[in-house]
Amino acid sequence: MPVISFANPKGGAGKSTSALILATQLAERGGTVEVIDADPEQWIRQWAALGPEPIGLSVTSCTSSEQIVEAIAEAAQRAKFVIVDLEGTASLLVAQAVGMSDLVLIPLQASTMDAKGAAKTLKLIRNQSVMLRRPIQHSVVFTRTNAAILTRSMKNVRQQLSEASVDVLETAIVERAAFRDLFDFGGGLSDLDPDLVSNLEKAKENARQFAGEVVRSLRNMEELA
Amino acid sequence: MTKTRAKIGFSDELDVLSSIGSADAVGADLKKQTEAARGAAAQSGFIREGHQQKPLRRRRTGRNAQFNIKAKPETIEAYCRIADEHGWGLGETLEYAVELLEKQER
Repeated sequence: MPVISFANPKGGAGKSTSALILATQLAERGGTVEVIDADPEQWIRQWAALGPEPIGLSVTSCTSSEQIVEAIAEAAQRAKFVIVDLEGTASLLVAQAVGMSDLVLIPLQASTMDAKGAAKTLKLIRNQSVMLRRPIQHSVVFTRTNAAILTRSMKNVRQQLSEASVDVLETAIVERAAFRDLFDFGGGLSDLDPDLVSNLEKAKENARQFAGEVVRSLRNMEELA
Repeated sequence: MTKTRAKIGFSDELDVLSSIGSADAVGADLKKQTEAARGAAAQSGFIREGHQQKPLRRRRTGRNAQFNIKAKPETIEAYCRIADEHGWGLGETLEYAVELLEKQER
């Protein structure tokens, strides 16, 4: 069913973290989710190896541009949601996965470097849309934002995105220890110990809002189709 | 601050959007899909090779155990010379040598 890819050729933009947050949230709400880890670093595979994955969530791996299209098509037959975590490179594999996606989320920290990576992804999406003769839905997601302050560089990137009429998710992924801890302890946010992880409840709320907004986008797309 | 921030380039090629047709089913034709992605990738600078899976070795000899020995330099030299003269690998040469010695013993 819907294929959601996380793409930004700039490394460290927050692709794996936001992909994992979305995957665990959807699974915790009873959706069957298959994550295809297409990043050679295999962050999500490493996370899965740490401990029990939430029920309904499975992780597979595919880092070959020759096989990714088929891997996504097969996963879409099995799971209710397919989430593809892509490598931080402008590679053919990324292009192949983007072409197979119903929704491409472009995570970025509010820095010019991340934003330039996002701009490159937007260009790819536009070219793909033309070639495939179908629009590829996409949104930018701000990651690792400061809960309290709106920085000047964030304002700049937001303004430039708005001038270019690029859709930006209202919910930003806030910089929270809990999101980093997922990769240390495995499992979902609800498996973390509130005594050991600060602001866990706020992280959970942030994750819920983010997943909710993604689901709303998917629902809107279905209604439009 | 008087300087204006540089343009990131979000709106590059926005003009191509007008040529988008109606939505087709995702992955209806995977081959077509793959070809389209190749074209778009080349146009958009998504040309890095990315992660390559290790290619399969074409020649498998089955000689996969390490065998370290100490010998006199002249023996090693003679051994390598014999191997080179015949165009054999060192492991292969060792097999011939053992075969010969076994024949002699019989």
